Amino acid sequence: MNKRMIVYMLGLLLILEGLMLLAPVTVDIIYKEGVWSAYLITAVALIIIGLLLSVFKCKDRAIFSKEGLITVALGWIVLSIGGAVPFYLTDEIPDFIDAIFETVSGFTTTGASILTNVEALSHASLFWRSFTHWIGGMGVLVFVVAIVKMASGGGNIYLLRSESPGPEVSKLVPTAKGTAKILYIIYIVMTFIEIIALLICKLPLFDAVTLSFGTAGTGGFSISNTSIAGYPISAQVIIAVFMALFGINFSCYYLLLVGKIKDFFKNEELRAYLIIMLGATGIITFNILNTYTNIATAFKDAFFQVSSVMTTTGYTTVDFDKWPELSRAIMVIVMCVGASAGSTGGGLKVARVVILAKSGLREIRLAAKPNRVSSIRFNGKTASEGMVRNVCAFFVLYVLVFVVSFLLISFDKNDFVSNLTGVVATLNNIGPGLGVVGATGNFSSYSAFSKLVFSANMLLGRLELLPLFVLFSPKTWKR
Amino acid sequence: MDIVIMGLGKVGLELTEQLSAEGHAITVIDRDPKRVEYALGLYDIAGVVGSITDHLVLREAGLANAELAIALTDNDEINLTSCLMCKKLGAKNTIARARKPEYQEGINLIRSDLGLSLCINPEKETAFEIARILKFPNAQKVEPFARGRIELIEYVINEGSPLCNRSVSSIFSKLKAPVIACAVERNGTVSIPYGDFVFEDGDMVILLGTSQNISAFFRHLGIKTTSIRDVIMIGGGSTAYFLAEKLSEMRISVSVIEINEAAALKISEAIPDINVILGDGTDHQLLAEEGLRDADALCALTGIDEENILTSLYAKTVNKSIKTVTKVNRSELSFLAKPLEVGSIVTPKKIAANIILRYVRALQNSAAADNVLTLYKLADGKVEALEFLVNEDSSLIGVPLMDLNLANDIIVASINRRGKIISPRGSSTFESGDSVIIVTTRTGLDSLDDIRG
Repeated sequence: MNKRMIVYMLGLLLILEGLMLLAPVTVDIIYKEGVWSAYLITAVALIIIGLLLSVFKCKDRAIFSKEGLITVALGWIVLSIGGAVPFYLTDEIPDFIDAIFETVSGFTTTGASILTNVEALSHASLFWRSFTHWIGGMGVLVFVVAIVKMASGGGNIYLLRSESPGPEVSKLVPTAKGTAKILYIIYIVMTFIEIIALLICKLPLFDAVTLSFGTAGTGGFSISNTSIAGYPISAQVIIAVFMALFGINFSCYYLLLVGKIKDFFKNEELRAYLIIMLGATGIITFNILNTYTNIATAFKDAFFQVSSVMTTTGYTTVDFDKWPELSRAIMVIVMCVGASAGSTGGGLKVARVVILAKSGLREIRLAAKPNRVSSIRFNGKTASEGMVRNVCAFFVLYVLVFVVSFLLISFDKNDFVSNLTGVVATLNNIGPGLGVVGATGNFSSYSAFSKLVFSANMLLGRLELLPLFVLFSPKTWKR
Repeated sequence: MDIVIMGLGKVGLELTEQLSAEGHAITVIDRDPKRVEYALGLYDIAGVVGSITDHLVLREAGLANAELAIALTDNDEINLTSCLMCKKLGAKNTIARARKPEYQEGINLIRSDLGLSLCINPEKETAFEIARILKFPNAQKVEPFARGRIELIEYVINEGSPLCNRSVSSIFSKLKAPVIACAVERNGTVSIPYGDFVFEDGDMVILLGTSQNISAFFRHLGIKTTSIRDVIMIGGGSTAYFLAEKLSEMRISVSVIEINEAAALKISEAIPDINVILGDGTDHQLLAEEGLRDADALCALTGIDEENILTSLYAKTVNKSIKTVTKVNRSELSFLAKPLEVGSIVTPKKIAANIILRYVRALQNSAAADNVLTLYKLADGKVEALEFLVNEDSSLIGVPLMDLNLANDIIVASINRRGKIISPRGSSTFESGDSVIIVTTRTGLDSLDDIRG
């Protein structure tokens, strides 16, 4: 294993995080709330450590799957710890485990919070929380790959694969650097359009920027205690639409960019994604209609909430915990389905759900006619058996992690529904669940141990299990 | 440049490695998903799995916008068909591998209709390379420059050599017929030898000069330069066929030992002048019978690398002065075989890749200020020798070389001015229309202006 290269890449990550921390420093210079020193100290410390780690360029720059997985897993843990320091230093989150939970929640674009009063935070801290969503959404290593030459040969693809969600990560253009650049350019442009649109709705610049960061990364940290409910209807609609847009596979946007519009509309995952989203919205609209005066408002709230939890953002305009049982059940189901592969969202991913469903149907066919030759088609092509196996294995691991986490959380004092949906909300990077952790609640009532379990769930969900499993597998470190 | 490589065989992989290292955007196509996956893990490229005559696959690989498509599968007809399709889809240039002997002449009938930029036959190119090596038996490798007026040779110094333990200035400064030592490889690292550099046993030196000057140089130093008259070839495949044809043109007597009866019959029918023997080339009795002791050269050309290496080693033990040429397909093995003194090693995939690489460089530079006329990779690709054309608007014109502040990984080896070869000195200058040979340990040098330090 190329340990020096892993250390070198971790160094680059820390430098990058240090540079990112300069953004909240600037914010505080504008708002003068006296927290800039905490951010500056952390930034300088991270840059110095990063420089020390990356100053020795290693000759052997070849990395393979294992190094890619370990770098991503370690990188995200290190980033979360580094990002938590300023919250602790400013005394805005006095408990360090709480600060870690909040930062992990930010980077993994979960949006679950332990804060009871968000509005008490300084502008710099609010900005930093939202900024972590934006960076974590597309991925930190993807960003590093886009700007510097990291590994030699084909090594960078292992970093992209380990960090980008979905069963099959392929390059858009021949080089990893080019691919990472295109992804980030699409990401930046879409974020920018949303900021402009929100400014047109007369939102203050600070609100427009932080809310757009939260939408783009499908994060969900809001800067107000009532999440999005306090903003004008027009802003709510814009955010709902953009959440849905950021939940679409970014390679679909690339198809649009290069003019393959037909291929865009033929994309099987995109179709399934839209069908599930609109289907869920439709059912919920009719289910909640009796509590609303007109169908338009009911539809708006239903669409906003479905778009929010399916893309795993977690913004809220209404307390969906008060909805009828059917609507609540649908909400929990779409939470688990999640967004598209290759988007910034979390969850199982629509592509995996489609392949799992097809694989299940195939087994039924094969049970009746055992000798029948049958392959699974996905997106107009035969899905390789390797991919189908990978998806099934992922699902098994996902369920396993879910069950174990749920057991561990159940030691705590909260009720069954809160515990169950708390795990759903963190493992799928959504944010709010039902009950105590519902739309109006938060995770502050859980014990430190439970918070660490939730934090681990968020990281496992964002990195899609395998990098962390490889990192903590004793075999990886055996000689 | 956007390049699509179709078929990930030995040549395909070699080319993928070289071209992606030079920063081109490479997409590969192969039918075997495992091979595509393998290449994707090694190099920073994109891959498509499928047939190279399937237009959907070609479209997916982005051939409509490709600068160059290279078809390298083992089937000539598929390569040619695919190149035609690529051209119609919008690829600007195409290169096909066609190895069947009947295509050598026949391809010219259809080449322009197919829109083919280059047709490459690795076996034939390998045979030509071996023929060049046999012309200079002292050298490991010979490359022609300036349309053959200048030659570049790799020469290994051993303990008995008059070059051993002498410095560069004591050997080269007083020569009447100038020859230049461009680069030296010692223990795997390559450097440019300056005046006080002392040669040691085992160094491989790259010499450049006109063909006559190099012969004079060897004579001057008292190194025997016998010409080759009698060659034994082991293996009667297509490389042997092209080589035998070339050698018999040069009036060299050729014996081919081939184990397969049908192949032996085929080559003897095709080239009646040569001596074809049916038998096992590793059989010592048979080799002795065919005159190994008196032969001038032995070429081991079977399809099995190990057998070729061992046969060459055996030949050296029987006949100390024999020149051996060993065909090694896998570069991993040639790396191991090198210290064994098996003589010259030829690797067909590298030869083919070099020709295509030279074409790509020329293509890339056709719009730029300076043109690369020829490119050779020496010492396993660690040294490059490039021939540039000096354009009239070059900033280097008229400046004496000593004032150019040349980079220290570069040597200006020769200036060819209207057919006259000039050995560069400190006071020499470039003129418009000159072709200049630069030897460098830097890879990817593609503009003459970059030679400044």
